[in-house]
Amino acid sequence: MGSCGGIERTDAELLTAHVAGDQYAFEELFYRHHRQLHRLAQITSRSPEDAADALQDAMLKAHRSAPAFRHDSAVSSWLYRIVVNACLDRLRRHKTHPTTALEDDAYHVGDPTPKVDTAVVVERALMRLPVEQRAAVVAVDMQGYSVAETARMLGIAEGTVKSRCSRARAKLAEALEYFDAGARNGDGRAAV
Amino acid sequence: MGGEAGHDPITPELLADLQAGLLDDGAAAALRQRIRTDSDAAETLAALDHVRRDLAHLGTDAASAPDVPVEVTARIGAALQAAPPHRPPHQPAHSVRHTPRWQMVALVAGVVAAVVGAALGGVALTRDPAPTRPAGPTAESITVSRPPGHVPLSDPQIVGLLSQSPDYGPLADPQRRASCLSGLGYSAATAVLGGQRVDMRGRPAVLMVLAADTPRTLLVLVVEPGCSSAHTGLLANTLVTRP
Repeated sequence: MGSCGGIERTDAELLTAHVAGDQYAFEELFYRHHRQLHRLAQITSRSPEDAADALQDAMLKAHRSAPAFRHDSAVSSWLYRIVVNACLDRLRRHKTHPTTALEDDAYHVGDPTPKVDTAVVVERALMRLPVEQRAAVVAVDMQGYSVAETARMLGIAEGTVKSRCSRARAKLAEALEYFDAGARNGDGRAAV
Repeated sequence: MGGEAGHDPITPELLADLQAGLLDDGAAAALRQRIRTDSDAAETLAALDHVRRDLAHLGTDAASAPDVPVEVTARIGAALQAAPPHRPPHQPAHSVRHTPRWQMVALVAGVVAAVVGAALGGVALTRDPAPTRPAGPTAESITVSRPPGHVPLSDPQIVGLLSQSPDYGPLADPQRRASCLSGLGYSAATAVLGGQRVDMRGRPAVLMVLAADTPRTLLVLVVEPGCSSAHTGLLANTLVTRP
């Protein structure tokens, strides 16, 4: 999380330096964002090994294609997108591989203690879902891809994307106990 | 689903299907009509919307991202090092002839290293003649669990400093603190919200918490005890989002 010096180049400066031939700039950019990039890869892959492979492929691709980046988004968003796309592509190519069967019941992650970041709690709940459901919500809810784009990237039907999103969101809401919050708040019930 | 829409219980799964666009237009319209008079259903739909917002936030909340196994980062770093660097599109003839690119890169890297080395007060980086590496884990440092410059307090501890009396140690004198901040590029009038003496890998340091550019963000700086406008000795920095 910390930097090791007082003068630090911005992401955009590092990428520009990389394109200009600076041999270490891209590696520095990777280290700066590696935790979030790895997290995205883990969430969108079948296994930690796949995640590491996909992350490496994505970083090499970004390294190569940096000259084409038009700075029309944040450099970090661009990197996140490349990683997620690499993972989705890997899932599309290997979608006939069997996945480990997970319990259908939502896994209750319990009361998050105040000190645990909400994002971490959500992440843990997400990792309990089958990778197919995770990939769908990563594409649609995290990256903002349309259902049609997601279907194309995953090589599946649009209806399948929708039903995976539906199941994933319902399971997450239950695991995170968001459905109970209204009842706990005593909001009352409407007359049926 | 269409014909019985008025009598089906409104389950979370049904609402999730609605949200995902799985219902035909007629069924969706009928369900939305029912939700308008059913506060439980409305809350359930709100819970599902909450999940979508949480997912979006997870995609950008880099501060909470967990540590990565060192061997993964080292392997990718090595692969990036091995990848051929880009050739800039225009290389002025004189610089090619008189300053080969590898020398330019080494020169730039050397300057960066000297500046970074000075800021660290002569830590190992300056003892390394060449090539200069960014401060990430390498295969050789595989036993190091964190890169140098890691802020030694957790986010909750940092937020906690805001409600405690600050202990700036050697920077207790406001003028020294102001000199330090101006050396780091902040106005001397910058409000420091909290502070504590910390240990940076066996060396004493001072951690300060400043307001960042949004109301919920805090900027954390860790500096050497002798931080001044002449020599700041910035050891680490990070941004923390308040809960």
